[in-house]
Amino acid sequence: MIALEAPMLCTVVLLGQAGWSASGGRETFTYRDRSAPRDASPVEWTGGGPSLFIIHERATARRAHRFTIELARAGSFSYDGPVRSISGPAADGVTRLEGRYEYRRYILRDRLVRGFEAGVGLQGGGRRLTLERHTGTATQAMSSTAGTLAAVASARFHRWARWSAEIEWTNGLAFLREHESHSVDLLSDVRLWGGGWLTDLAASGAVHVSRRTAVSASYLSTGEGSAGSHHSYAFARRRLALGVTYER
Amino acid sequence: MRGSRSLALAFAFAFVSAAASVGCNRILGPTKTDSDWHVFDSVHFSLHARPGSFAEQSAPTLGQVLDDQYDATLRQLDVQYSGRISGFLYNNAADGGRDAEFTGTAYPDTAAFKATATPPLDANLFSLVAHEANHVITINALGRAGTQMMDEGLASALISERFNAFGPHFYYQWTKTHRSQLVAISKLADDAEWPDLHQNTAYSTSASFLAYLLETSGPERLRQLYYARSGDFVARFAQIYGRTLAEGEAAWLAFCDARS
Repeated sequence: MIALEAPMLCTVVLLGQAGWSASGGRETFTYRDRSAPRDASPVEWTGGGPSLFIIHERATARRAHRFTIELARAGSFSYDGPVRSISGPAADGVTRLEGRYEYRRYILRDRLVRGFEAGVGLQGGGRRLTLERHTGTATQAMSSTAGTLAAVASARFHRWARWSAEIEWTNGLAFLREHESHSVDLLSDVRLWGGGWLTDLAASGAVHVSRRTAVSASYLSTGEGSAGSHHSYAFARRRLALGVTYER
Repeated sequence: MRGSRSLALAFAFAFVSAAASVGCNRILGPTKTDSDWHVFDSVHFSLHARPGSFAEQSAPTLGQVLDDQYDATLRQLDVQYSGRISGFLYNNAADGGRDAEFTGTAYPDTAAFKATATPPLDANLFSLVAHEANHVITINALGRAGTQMMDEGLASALISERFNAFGPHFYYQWTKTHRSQLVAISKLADDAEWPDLHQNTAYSTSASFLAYLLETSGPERLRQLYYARSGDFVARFAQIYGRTLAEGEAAWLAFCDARS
């Protein structure tokens, strides 16, 4: 997500580019249990930690194939209400491993403004999310394996030689398989099917520091959630990252 | 150059505005909670009430009731939990965005509950907040219940009678006087049936039956039955209690008649 601007800068003059980007930053993870659409707990279970992601993109002037792998870990959780925050147990944590593939086509190239491109794409992916909460002497664990299908809209601006900027909006559905357990009793193990959604908004900018290399910065804000018969929740992520892109 | 940058910013602003106003998360995602709250801390609870409200005046009493409930629930189920619970007491249904007065919702994963807190300060309000707090305590201490009957019924069956008339003895009496309205336990334990049942009857019948099981057979067996799913409930009951569900139901009715 961060790095695509750099290879794309080159596609203006040279077709068939490929680029690799590695980025790292800090991500906050916020979880709320839900009882109905729009209704959720007034308290947010919030933590933060490192987030790493690698993007590989193959692009021509009008289309791109993008592969993304992300790994994030959040800790230092607290229960944040609107006016009061309560520290959570130190061992509480969330781990997220996610892979996405996106096929994108660029439309409206230089039509409205020189250097402006609008893109539309289709994205599929898989996500493994594990949550661990400690409730006194016991541990509550939840793991969710999801397949996602989403539409992507992007606006890219690369009018100048050295820098470019892009905004992306992703919206789609998730199909989930969840496993919940409580350390107090093996009988507590339960496996559920569910459905969910995801909406991402990302902004990124890249500056070329050499012919093949660019540095980038990105911000991502997500809103995701799931609805199941016995367990519904929503979570949000905020990520600020810096990265390096190398293009071949 | 400056004109192009302005144009780029304008595009970015338009794109972000459009993206933020549509999408699944806009429709399904949670709304933000406002910050117009005063907080009263009891031993186990942080009770949030609107400034100057009836709930704020009542918070010390409600805190005392809930602290007693917290200890009573852990003792009755013989389980452990040490989390602090945040309660949000709304002035009325409109304030809380709820469909009706005298309602609440528990959010066990984030150790919180919402409830409407309207006058008077009596057993109705005590039992409402105690019921919601019990959801938070039981799910954090035991995990998720296997059926709606267990989830909702146990939250009422555990209500402490120290400050509250709506505990087990109330439900035993209710069972005796509402015999013609009672729903079969096998039907209550079926999650597919639960949404279509008259909810007051379903909650009260479940509470009475589970309070009876807890009182007569202790917490260990009830904790095993707690996880039984709808499809397994009848068989699990027979396995755990050594009698059929129909026999258990008959014994419960006789118990309620005798107790009342």
